[in-house]
Amino acid sequence: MNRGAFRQKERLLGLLLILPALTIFLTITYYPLIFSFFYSVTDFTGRSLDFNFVGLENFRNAMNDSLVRASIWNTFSFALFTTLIGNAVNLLLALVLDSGLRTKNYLRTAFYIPCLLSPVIVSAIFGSILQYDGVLNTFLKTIGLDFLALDYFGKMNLAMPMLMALNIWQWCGYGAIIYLAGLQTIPTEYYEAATIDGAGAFDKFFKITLPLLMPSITIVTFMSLTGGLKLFDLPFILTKGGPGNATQTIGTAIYKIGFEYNKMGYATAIAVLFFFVIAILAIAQLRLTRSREVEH
Amino acid sequence: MKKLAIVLVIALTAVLFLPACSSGGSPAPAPSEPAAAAESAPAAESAPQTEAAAVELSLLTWDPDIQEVCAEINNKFIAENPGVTISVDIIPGDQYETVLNTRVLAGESPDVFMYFGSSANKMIADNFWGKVTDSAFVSRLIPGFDDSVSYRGDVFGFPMNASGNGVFYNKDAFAQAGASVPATYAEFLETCEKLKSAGIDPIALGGIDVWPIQHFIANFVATFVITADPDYEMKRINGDITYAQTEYPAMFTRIMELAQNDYIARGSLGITHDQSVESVANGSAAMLLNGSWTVGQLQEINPDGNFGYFPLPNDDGKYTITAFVDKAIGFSPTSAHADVARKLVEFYAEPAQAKMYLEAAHSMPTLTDVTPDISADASVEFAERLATSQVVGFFQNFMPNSTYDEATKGVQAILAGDTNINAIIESMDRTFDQDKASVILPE
Repeated sequence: MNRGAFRQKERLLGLLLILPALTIFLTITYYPLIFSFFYSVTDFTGRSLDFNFVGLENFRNAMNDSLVRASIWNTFSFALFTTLIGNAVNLLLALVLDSGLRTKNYLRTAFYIPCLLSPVIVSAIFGSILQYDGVLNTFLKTIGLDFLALDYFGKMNLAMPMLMALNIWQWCGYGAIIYLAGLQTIPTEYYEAATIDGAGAFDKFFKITLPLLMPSITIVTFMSLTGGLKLFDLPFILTKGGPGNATQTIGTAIYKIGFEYNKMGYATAIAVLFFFVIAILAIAQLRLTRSREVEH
Repeated sequence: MKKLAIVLVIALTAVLFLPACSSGGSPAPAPSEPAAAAESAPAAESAPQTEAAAVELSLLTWDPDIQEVCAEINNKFIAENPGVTISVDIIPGDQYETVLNTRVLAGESPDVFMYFGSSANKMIADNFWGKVTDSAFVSRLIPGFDDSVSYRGDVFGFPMNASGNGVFYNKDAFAQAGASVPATYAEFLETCEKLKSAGIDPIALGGIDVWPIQHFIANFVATFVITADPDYEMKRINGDITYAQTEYPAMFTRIMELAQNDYIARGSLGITHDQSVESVANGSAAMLLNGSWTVGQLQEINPDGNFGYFPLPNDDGKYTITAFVDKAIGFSPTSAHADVARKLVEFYAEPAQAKMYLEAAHSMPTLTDVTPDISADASVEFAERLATSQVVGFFQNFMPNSTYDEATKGVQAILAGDTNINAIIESMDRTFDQDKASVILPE
């Protein structure tokens, strides 16, 4: 057997080996994805197999739907704030871990543990702690600080910031570990040379650390942004999108419209629109942050 | 193929965007044809089966409180029908419809399942239940209750129990505050003030569960909107009026005043229904504007408590009570054991089982020949008022789910401090006009 024939046979064998996994992957991911485009132009209810084609009506309605508009506003606010504040917190924690602290190994574990918890569990735990009759308010009332007892998820202007804080808390360890890995790849010679040149801590951070951390920033920002845009579990469990529409995200709105209003075609249209929005934003973000990456 | 695609699209929507709710399934016969099995099922009520046949029935419900009594009834059925086993699956109420829809569309419908009696016609219109028109229990249904399980002249399920809304209160808390049962809305506000002055939360509401808010609203809709115009729902359907032209704006304003005066317990959006019931049971709160099932829940927490009932009065002392079939049970026409499944439904409708169920659920009967032994004051007072008052169905029946949701979210927003009543009404009118076609009226 010549080398070409052998390679061809090997390639065929490789394809055969991945075929079962590939079939499952294509069946459960791409097949419904393609049909999502199909159902997005129907009035499919999800309760009956009968439906009609409605053209682009679902997409037009989505533009004028106050629930969709509120959920878009909330989702983008959430993604923006958790990405900006989360990145700053992650970086701060990474700098702490990268310092010469004796407890850094313990801290690294402590920061990372929340990432191992399911958002459902986090929601259940913090639901018990932060609900009005919850652990925190009971404690505050017991020590005479009644005025500090707040209805954290029951106020229009407080519910979404609370979800943001929870999200940042849960995932800060994850980002910190990525930043820590990035920090440890920066050669110390750069800092030594900067010190000799008389650069202060501020200059070192903005002119050495930050530019050389751009690959890590690209990854963390991408994950934070796309994770924020897909937010579903926290508001679904903690607030059900309420009060009113205060914590309604695109994910919870799609669920509500599809499964509660029985407008599955319309919900699919919103999901399709949202699919493209996330794709465009993710590509734009990757291009922007990658353009600022520097080699060393 | 089309069916597989539908199930997978639902699953993908869930998996990609909604991680908490995925489901899948294999292609199976469509439920859209009321199966021949259903038509050919025996009409007679359950006679003991002589031949042993290995049949495993699945029964789906959402209420864990009835698990025990259902198990007793199921065991009786199993004893009378050797070879039959019944597995009961309980899905939380807020996910029940989603799970049920997906299972039915995936061809994995439970053999027998319960549904919210107040909106069972939606299920029937989609052929989720098989016909029981010629079952013996149908002729024993109290007129009116058969409507909720009927569609185009046929009956599709057994309405298991009737419930109603109103104010369920702690008599001891009232006595402690020197409050009495109000005859008008002004007196109701006075009662709230007295309770608040006595350090008791006047109204408890488990807003985190959402559905208690819907029953809270139902009290106000019945007493203020329907009492003022009993035909407003059909007028709204026909486009003769908008919600802005009904008593809805004034109703929301009244709810806002209750919230602003702290008559509704603070933090209501952060507590569950169970917590709200507990607060009334132990007297830290006094009133629940909810359904008659709360009587049993109150008594379970505080067996020695004294609880009563009164309907929410309007300014003139008039009121309307919302009453509805709480749970209805039917069988799947696509079940492989449709005949046995139908027999189980009929078994639940037999007087002995129906009485067992009603007493366990502290509910009103839907059958002419069943009278449960009710001893609780609140249940007796509720039954007395129900017998002598104007009674209407649940307000959700005449509005799309989206409009119902806007009303619910409106009250949530009010409890959270929002005062824009016009925005709530505009959202209700807009969603109604947009989704009016989805309203399934009784036919």
